[in-house]
Amino acid sequence: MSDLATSNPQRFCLGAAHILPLCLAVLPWGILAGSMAVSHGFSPWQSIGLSVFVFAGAAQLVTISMVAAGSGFIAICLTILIITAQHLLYALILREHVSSLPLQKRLPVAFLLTDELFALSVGKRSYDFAYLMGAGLCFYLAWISFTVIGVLLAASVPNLADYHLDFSIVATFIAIVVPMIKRVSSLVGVVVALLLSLVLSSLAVSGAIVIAGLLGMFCAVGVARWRGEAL
Amino acid sequence: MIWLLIFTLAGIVFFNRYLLLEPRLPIRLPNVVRQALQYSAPCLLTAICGPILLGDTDLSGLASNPYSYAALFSIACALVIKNMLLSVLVSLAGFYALLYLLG
Repeated sequence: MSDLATSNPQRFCLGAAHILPLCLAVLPWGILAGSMAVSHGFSPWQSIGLSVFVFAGAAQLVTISMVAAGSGFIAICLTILIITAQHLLYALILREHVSSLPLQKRLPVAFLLTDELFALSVGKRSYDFAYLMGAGLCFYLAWISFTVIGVLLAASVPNLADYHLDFSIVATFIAIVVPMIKRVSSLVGVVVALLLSLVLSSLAVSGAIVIAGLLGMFCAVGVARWRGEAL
Repeated sequence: MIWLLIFTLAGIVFFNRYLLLEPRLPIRLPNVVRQALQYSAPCLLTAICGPILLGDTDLSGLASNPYSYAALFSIACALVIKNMLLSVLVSLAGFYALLYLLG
């Protein structure tokens, strides 16, 4: 029985099932990515192409705004390099579990490595290939489907931005983060990250998210050491 | 031009995702970094929320921003409701109720 419970197809399905709530949570976000692209002058295929090839919600929205604002090619590339730098950290954290896999398995894990897959994998402490693929592919297909819905909606619903779809990402991340805060050190880290992210973003510092997140993490370690928390 | 941009960005994002999964890249992490990584998920996910909460306003706009109050409500939901999906749904309902009340 235990062999059955840990078979690869079952792990694959378990991953897909576990990520379903996160798929639902990015539904409005995906619709936004599709509709915003179309309303800012991307063709329907280019709008869907962003989700198919780039597959990074925040980066897609920033790209669309920058293209619409007439920013240059290099400026857009540099901005995306910086704002997706949190993936370096995700990869670093998954490294001990994933880097021992063969190349043909590492490549798809890397391609599917989103905020959501990372949060799920770390939250559930599940790092095996079948689980990551089940969750990652399910989320990828959901993201593309929602983008297509957004592209179709953009044609029929005007002023989609007035519906404030972006709050769903905040609601989801809060629901993920709050249960993770079990010690004073993590509370301090999260508060520091939030305050710095607000301040740096309001000053339009590029890389605000990464800087705020990193400083929050190191403050948490400082507090943990000072309080003598077991690490 | 847009397609070239899309494929270049796809390459950049993939580079960020793959680089540190490459086993031939030698990395020896200091202790403090390894400890800090334990806090990466909550801190980074929280940091991502910052610009969304701000929207188009500056810091002084936070006090009059429905996103701020809805986020506080979401935190309360997450503390009370142990099921993640339910917690998200209730806090979204609260957010849209708040927007409706504010007209």
